Amino acid sequence: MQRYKLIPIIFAGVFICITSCQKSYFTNLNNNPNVANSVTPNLLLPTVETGLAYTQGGDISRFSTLITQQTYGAASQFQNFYIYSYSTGAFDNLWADLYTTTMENDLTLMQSADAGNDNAYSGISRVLMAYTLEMTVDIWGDVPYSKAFQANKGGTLQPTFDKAQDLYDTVSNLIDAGITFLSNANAGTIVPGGDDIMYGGDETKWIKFAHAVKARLYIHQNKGNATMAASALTEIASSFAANSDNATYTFAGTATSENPWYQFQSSSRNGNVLFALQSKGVATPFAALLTQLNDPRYFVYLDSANDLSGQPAASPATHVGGLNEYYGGISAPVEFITYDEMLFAKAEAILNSGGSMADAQTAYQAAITANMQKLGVPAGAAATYIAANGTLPATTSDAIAKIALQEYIALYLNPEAWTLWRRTGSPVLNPTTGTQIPRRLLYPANEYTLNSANTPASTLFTPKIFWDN
Amino acid sequence: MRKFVSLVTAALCCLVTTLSAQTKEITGKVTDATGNPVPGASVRVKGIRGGVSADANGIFKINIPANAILIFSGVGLETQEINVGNLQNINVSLKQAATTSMSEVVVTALGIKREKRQLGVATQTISSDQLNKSGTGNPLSEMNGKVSGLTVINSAGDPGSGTYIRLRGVNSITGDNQPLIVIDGIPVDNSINNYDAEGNGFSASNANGNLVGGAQPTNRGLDINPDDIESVSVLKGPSASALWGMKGANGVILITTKKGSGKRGTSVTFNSSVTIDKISQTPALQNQWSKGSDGEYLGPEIGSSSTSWGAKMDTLSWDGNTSYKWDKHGAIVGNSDPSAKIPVHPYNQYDFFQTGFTTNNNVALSGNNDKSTFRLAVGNLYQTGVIPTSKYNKTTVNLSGESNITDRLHATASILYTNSYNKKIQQGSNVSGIMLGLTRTPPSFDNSNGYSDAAGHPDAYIFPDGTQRNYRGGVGYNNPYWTVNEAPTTSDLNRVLGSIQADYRLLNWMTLTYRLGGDIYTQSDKIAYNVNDESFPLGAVVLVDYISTIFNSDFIVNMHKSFNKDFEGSLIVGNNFYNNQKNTRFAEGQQLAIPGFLDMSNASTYLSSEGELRKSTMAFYAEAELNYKKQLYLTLTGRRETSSTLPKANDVYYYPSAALSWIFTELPNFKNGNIISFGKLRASYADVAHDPPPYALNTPYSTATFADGWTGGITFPFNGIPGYQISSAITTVGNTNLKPENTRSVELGADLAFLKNRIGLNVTAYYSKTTDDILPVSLPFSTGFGAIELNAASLSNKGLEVTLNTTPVLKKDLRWDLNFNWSRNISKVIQLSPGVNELLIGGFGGGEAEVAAIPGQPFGVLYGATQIHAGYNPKAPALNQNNLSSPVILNDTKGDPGFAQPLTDAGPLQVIGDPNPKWLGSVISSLSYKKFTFAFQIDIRHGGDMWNGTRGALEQKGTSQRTANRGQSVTFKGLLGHLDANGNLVHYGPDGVTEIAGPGDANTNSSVYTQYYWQNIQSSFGAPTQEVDVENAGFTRVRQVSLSYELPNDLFGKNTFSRISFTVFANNVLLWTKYDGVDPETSLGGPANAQGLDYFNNPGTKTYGVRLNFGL
Repeated sequence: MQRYKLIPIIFAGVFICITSCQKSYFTNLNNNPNVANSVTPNLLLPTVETGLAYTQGGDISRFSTLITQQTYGAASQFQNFYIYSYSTGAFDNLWADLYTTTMENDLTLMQSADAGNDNAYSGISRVLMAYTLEMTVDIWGDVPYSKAFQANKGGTLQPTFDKAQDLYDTVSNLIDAGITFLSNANAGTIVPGGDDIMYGGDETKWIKFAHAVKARLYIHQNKGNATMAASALTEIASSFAANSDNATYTFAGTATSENPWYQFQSSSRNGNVLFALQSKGVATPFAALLTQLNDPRYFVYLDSANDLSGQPAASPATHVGGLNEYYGGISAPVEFITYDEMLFAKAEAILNSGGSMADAQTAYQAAITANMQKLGVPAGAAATYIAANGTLPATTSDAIAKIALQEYIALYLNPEAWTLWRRTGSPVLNPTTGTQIPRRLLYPANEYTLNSANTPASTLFTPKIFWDN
Repeated sequence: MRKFVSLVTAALCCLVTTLSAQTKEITGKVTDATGNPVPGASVRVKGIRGGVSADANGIFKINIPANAILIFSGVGLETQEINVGNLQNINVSLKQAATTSMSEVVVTALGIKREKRQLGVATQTISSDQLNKSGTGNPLSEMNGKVSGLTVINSAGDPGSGTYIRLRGVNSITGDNQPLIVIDGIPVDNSINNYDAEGNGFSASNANGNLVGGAQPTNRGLDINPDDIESVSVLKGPSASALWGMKGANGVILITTKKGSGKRGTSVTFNSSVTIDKISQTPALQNQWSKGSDGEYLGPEIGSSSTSWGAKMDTLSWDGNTSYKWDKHGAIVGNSDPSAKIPVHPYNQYDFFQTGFTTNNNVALSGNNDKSTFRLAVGNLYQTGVIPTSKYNKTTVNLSGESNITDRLHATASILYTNSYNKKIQQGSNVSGIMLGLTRTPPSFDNSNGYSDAAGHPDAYIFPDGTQRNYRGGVGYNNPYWTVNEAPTTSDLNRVLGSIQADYRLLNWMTLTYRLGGDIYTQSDKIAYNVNDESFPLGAVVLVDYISTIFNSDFIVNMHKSFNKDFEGSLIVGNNFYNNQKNTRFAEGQQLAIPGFLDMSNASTYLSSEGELRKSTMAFYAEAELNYKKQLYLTLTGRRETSSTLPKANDVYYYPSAALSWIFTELPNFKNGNIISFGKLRASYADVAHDPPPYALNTPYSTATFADGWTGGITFPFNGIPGYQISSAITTVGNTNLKPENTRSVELGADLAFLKNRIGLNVTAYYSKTTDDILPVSLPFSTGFGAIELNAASLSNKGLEVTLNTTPVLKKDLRWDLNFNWSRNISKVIQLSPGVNELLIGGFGGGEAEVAAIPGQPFGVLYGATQIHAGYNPKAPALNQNNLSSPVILNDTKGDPGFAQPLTDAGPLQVIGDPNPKWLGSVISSLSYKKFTFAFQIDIRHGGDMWNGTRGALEQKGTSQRTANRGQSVTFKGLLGHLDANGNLVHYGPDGVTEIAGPGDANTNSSVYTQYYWQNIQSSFGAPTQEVDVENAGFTRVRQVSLSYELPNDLFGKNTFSRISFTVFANNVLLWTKYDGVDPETSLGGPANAQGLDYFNNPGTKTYGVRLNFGL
């Protein structure tokens, strides 16, 4: 029977086919052809800078300015946020953007740069990490850091929270190490250029920014502490010398790289947050303050687009107000630390370290001038404004309150304004509901759900950040 | 014609027809018990695949080898075997099968046919006459209610919208839980290929996708034309599908396509149906209150005002100014205003919907000659939806042939080709979504601008300067007429699906089968947004091409042997190779230079990407079956499988199954029993593994992109500068230690027939447990990542399925079949991952309504924030802080805006509902009298919750009918209390100052339904509680009702039309539900694991139609 002979032949054929389909075929098939397995530091730096700018200019700016009443929550969730009605889930995205997009990628950049001896990137990544970590601590106090970022390294999936004071030391160490790397920046095979969207690879400006970050560490703790104030002054002296040194990130203004406030205003969220007028035609606290001070920055910050009836605004009193081009344009910058903030800090630190009122006032006036120059306010208008508001009152506490008030105006949409208010109490803000204004954000639902053993309890008022008084 | 048939068949099979000398021709007639011919009755030779079908008069002709046994079968008739011997002409009378014939032949794993009586597992079969009744052309939705344990959920009534199917419960938390669809032995693709341009991007593109916006996704199972289906076998549990391996872990739906039949030569059948669609159920809207806030009317030009909390409509008038661009009646002023002219009347937003219209035409040509059969069928479905401009057009061509080339070699080939075009509409949480803009529109604004067919009048939705005409001054949400014209989503599909198969009877007891099949398609989608669309104010065009290829090869050796009089055995040994590659080509252009020119070349910024998903598996398998006296059957299977998606060290897996069945009515005591005519007990066990998705082992770098949930975010490159990321909030860390997940199941059942098969009862109970379930376990973001792939979770399902088939009346001219299906499944998530209490399956997350997996709970519960109830204890573990069944706490803090209203103070996140129905049931009745047949199907879904986010949002916006009661006073029922500074539940003592722990007395304070109440207390929209919008979405519906009449076949003279029938039918005509929104059979996430969310879902439809069938 011929047919019987076929059987072994068929089975042999099948067997050969199968053994030739070697395991390597299966293994190779599982390599994703559409992703990269390694990248160089110059491909990570733009991500980290942009991630930081988008996070600060987006979620952090929205939350902090609703609290400091630089903006007004008019509708949907923002109406609730304005009256401090937050769930822990509201902070998940912000926390994610800080820990994943910004810090995890920055850490990867740092490790990649260190491994390749690319000193400039080693330095820049540390300065950015220091800045981000300090801002994170100023929002929540104790946060994960030393045991964080382990998911792809086989480490813990439930990081412990480090003490806020210890993290300030970490920030300081990162800055010191960063400056050392930046001072020897030309070592290594790649140096930053166009991929450094902030400074175009200018190491001297990065060093100034590093000192500014460190200056903030001290200035946050300088109330009644002459040593901290003196340290702040030392760092300020090494930081920015002009507006051209400012640590600023400018968006591209293309459809996929728009300023976050612009994105918010041009989406269906438009109207959820108002800037000049509340819904019933009452000025927002911030607009009222500018009007009261006859501040020439009113129409720099706020636009004159429409009044309540849809007509062009006749006067500040009737305009609903979007954000004007400087901070609300498609390619508007997000500012991290600027020269004028350092000058305000200098004025404050002079007073807290026992310096003279005259020196403080010089720094204070220089701060207002620098700010108005940055914003393009005509010199004459600036001079008029300084004539009216440039004199500091006699007592240190009043003077610091006045410095802080002007700094609050200058730090428009910058989360540092919230920190300033918390540590100085200036300007005087009335709670929108209840008796207290939030002094921190809640830890996110994400940590409470997935890292419950380590995540401390929190309310919007307790525990305060260690420097808050 | 005979030559033509041969040519077609030969070309198909790529084989040459040759005659074999040993055959002889048999002719005969097949009739039923009443003597009527059985058209299309199947006649085949035992042990040989294929066969012929009787013609319209029951006449057949077949060539058979010597000493063959012929098997005769027909729908609804008992199968009969006849030993041919020397007979030349055989006339067979087949007995009426009542409803539950156990001699019925069913297609089981690998396309092997088995008699139903011997199976040790639960299967259910749907025959062709039960499909294609609704005229929708959707084979999956046609199965609704017809199989116990099969859940079918239609996402929406849009043409081409998705259908989710699930057998029994969920086996994998984030994997695909839909059963494998197999057509003629080839596993085919049932993917959802979808891109949500505004929100989740490609993350919506699979079973665990989290779609909340975009256009309603389609699953590719829709491509099959129900008219090409001969039968559907549903293999329910993993034990039924053990031979399909990893792919069959969720059960298998085996589709057998129609093959050639009819009289010698050719025959033609034609059917045509015309249906109209009406909208079924919509959220109720108020029509008494105008746009605005705090009782003050704010006109459409004030874009920051999005609500209908304005003045009462009857206090307002139009000023008659025809140049007012927002309304043809003029601007709205108070009645006392001097310019007041015409009293304002409310506009009905639902005038937007239109009557949908569908035609479904099918022509089939089939025939046979001595040894070969063929079928060529063309079908077309043309559907316009209830939403203007929505459309679905599907054309299918099916060509199949079979040939007995020799008496030992049988060949089969079939090709299905589908071409479809779908114009889809944006939906859901999406400012371009239809229902969002439509239902939020105040009754004081007319989206249509006075046109009865506004979708065809640009004046209704676009101003001459290109800005949008909507109720919010051009910002906010799209005017729905804008969406259907200026935000089109289209999908073009071309698909070829086919197989060739050769069976060679090597020995009388051994057959070799080789089958090669493929499923190849290209789906090209275009999503466009004109300039000034609310989603993309600068305009955008997205092009996505999906190219999918599946190849499947099976080599099977089928052996059958009788050992002696009592023992019989069969053994199947096989090899399977499966390869699937899916490529995605994506391009997005934003910032359109010329408004209205929705073309990629018109964009100023571009993003593009490509994706290539590859997977291969190879397996050896065996099935051994042994029976004793055709009474006791034992079936054992084993499979060894290798998958490319597993790490090299772990990539080979073995899994077994066993089934035992005992037909106790074969015992002598039961012979000739009048009460019990058939009885079988069965038990089975199976162990099935499931591999991870491709590329789950590594953590690579990808182009950086991030967003925060409020804004569109950033995508690199940035002005030409590239940026890469290793992490973002949605990045999952790979894991090189993954192993397959595992599902073990046991099943016990009984199949009983009583009173000469007039009553059939099938009962199946099952339990299954999945362990090592692979899922991206959510991580605290402080780990630097969003999730990590782990073999972490386990979950179980247990359930009961009952089918009861009865034939209460069976007479010559009158027959009544009444069938019931009932099933209940209880799922339980046993664990996720250590320390993980909750996993988002779909929805919004972040404390807003979501579908979640939570240990100890059924799969896919609704999870969100609650009101404060009397049992509130903030010290209790998460998920248990509140007792939702205890009374609501009503705020006793005088002076609070929410005084005497439910306390919503940031309640804890908890399980707030369970979308899984308590049970599913259906009643299917068919009553035939002479040539008339009246049939209906009633489906019941008992229980199952839905988060009605639409209602919540409309309450916040003030358009919901429920908010019409504003200003009325109310005393809420509940206990007094509030939360103290430490967050504990307390109430005020008699002095109104002292706080006393726990809730106080019953509330007697009255309150008023205010804007504050509806926006901050009752609504789940942007407010602290989701609990308030969870509703029971159970329903009872008349799924289908039809009346057919079969014309006498000699009406037009003999030999013209063999069969003509005429049917009028209606689908979903009656719906009883407490659900307060669109048709509760809806799913925001589309055909995905996350069910139970309604957030501006597009509405469902009811259908009325007529159908004509005739054959030549």
